[in-house]
Amino acid sequence: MVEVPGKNTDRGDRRSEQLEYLMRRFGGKVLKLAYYHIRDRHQAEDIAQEVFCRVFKNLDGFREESSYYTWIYRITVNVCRDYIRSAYFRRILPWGDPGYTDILKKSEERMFEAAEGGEVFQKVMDLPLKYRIVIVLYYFEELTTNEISEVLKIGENAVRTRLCRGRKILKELLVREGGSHERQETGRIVEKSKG
Amino acid sequence: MSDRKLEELLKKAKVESEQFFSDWNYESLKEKVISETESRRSHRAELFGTARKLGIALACILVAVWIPYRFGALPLKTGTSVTQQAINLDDSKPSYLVDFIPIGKPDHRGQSIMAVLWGESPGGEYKVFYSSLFEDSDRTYPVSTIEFPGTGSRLALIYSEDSRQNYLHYRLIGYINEGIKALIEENLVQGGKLSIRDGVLVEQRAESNLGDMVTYIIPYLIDGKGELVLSADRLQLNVGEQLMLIGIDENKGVQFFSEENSVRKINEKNPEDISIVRYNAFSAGEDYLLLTPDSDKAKVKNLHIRVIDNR
Repeated sequence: MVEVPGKNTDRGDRRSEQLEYLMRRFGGKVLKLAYYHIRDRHQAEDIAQEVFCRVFKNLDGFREESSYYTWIYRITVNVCRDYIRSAYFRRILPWGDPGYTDILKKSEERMFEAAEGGEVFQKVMDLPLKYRIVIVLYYFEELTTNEISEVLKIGENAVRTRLCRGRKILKELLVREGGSHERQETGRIVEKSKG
Repeated sequence: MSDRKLEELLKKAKVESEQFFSDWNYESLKEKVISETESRRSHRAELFGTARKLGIALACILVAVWIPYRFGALPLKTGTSVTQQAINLDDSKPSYLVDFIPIGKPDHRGQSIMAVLWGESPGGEYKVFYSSLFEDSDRTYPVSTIEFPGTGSRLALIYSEDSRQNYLHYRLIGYINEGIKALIEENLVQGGKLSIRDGVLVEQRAESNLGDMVTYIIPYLIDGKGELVLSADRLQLNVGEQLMLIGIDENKGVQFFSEENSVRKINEKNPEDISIVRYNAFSAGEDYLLLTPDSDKAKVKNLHIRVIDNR
């Protein structure tokens, strides 16, 4: 459990101190998680801002049944889901919810960040939303399947299923579009068979 | 590609993601949040002052309302929610709240009930996602749900009753095309009774010449993977009763086939985004109804139907 500074000081500035600490500790993680959902830096910043405003509003009500970490992540996921569902987001993404396989087909039409890091990272980001989030939480943020199930409010089995399915789709994407990875591997197999 | 190779590539992707996010400045976010929370705090203080004034005004209004109520002219509960219930339409989304709000008629004779489905907006405020008026209602029932197994999606059954005239009004709602809409909107169901049994909505209504008419309603949907999911995969009904399949197919199309041993199709309708097919049980025996999505004919689903004759 994260020990939050200011827990034992007067209530007046205590909440502001706690908020500052939580932002310092989790600000980057929240922003990244929002970006993993939305794929737009400015909108991710808006979401992160909304998340910490909600955190500030509900700090007194936080009952420490979960860690701050999962609590803040869960708020982030909820704000992102609301945002994706909102008419505004659907209007700026002409094909609607980015959670569907259309993303795969229309990746070239994307309005997201111009350069999304490296080639493999971009392929991960091209996964349908529900698989992408599980993959990034597991592999990039190193959450356990149990923690992911708490954050996403789904069963641990569902997390494992999504991880498995996400890996499968990612393999397909990498083989279909990112020939270089497959070529390297094929090369190795050929070498082995030569030996 | 082997699993090991994929794990290596995912490690590489993690490094790439760290590089991608490395130049992001979190300080500006911190400043924005602090200024926003400060502004919200001062706004709340203003609201508190306004709330005190409103409280006094409200007390005056309550006194003004209480006087006619005391003499029997106005129902006190009008405009205030009588019940509030949280429901979950999809495991991957936050819950909603359903309020039943009585609405008095202008002549103060009888009342209707407005059902309102609230959901939290990105700004943390509640917004109306669905609402429907149940005319001439004096009794509400708890909202029940029908689940699509394995999908985490549900439909909600909202209903109310006019107990004096023995009418039932009901709505079956769920996500259709990313919005919440009604699959069924039925009003003035004479002698109506509703129940949900093993994923089947059972509607009973009084028909003037025929006695009670029972319809078994089985919803289905086509999920994101193109799988057709029924809320129930077996059903037993009596000769003379009806089966109604109602589907959220969003114009994807589903073909229905039965050998017509025991049930026979009566009609088929395709209002916007949904399909409704009705069957009549005409003879005791067993039947299989095959549902085949147009998008992938291999993903056919069976509904096992047993018809008994207990007339």
